[in-house]
Amino acid sequence: MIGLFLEDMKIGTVIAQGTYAFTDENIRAYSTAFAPVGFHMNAGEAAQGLFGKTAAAGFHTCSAWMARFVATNAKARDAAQAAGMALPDIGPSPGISNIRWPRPVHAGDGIVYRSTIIATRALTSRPGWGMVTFRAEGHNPAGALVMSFEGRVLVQARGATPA
Amino acid sequence: MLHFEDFREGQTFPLGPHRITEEAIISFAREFDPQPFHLDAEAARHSLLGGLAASGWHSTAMLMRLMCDACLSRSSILGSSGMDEVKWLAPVLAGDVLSGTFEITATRTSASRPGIGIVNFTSRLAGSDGMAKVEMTGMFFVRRRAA
Repeated sequence: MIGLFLEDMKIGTVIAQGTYAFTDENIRAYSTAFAPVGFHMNAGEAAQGLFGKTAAAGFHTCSAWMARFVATNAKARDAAQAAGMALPDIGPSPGISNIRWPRPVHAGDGIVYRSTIIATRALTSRPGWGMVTFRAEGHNPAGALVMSFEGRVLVQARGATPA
Repeated sequence: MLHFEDFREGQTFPLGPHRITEEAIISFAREFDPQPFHLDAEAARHSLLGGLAASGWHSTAMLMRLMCDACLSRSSILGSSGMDEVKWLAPVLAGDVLSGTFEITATRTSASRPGIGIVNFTSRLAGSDGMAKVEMTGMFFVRRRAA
């Protein structure tokens, strides 16, 4: 994660991840493939629903966070590698929790994503690796929260000596 | 069209079967999760996942799609304010055939919005060998049948 080993992850660090632009086309493409329900697909139904107009699928707004995460992470790793620094391996994620979509995301919204490190711990079950917990957020152009969740990811430790 | 009154605690809807292709994994990963173990079968063989694996966001999206196919696309669903948890229990690999259940765990009417009901659920997908792959717990809003 962002080119840092477990030991270098500081609680409270905020990682800015840039903006993902939601458009009619990408909202329709995602909803057609993965969330074909009336209020995502049909302007007339959306007008009668909770959001007033067609909104992006909730997991589209989460997947866009991932796209920004990977892009930001790749940039940080390239910079670290150019500076001659060692790079940690990144492992899989066991899952996410407390996923919230407090406001809809519409075509034309540029959502600004960030993540904050909230916990780190070494794994006794997997020496040389640790678990990093973070809070992911997306804000709309008005500055209002539209998406948040808590994620966990395995990150390699610097002191990767076998137990 | 299914409304709030058609969902009951303990009800289950079957999900799948749905076969995951290498093309679908790579196509989703290019757009949302371009890491080597989601893009390149050779790189994936040497990763912790052990083979070309779907992004967790892709397996979650497929779970939502199978829930739509099972019943939500023919319901008066209005959206969701969030999910409690998504567990990625084992990698979803190219060629896996996923099936599972969409179980209704609770239903209640909205105190603040009389025309709306709230449905809680747990959905699970497993591979053809029975190994649990993805599990999601969450809620959605759905219209009540007009009085």
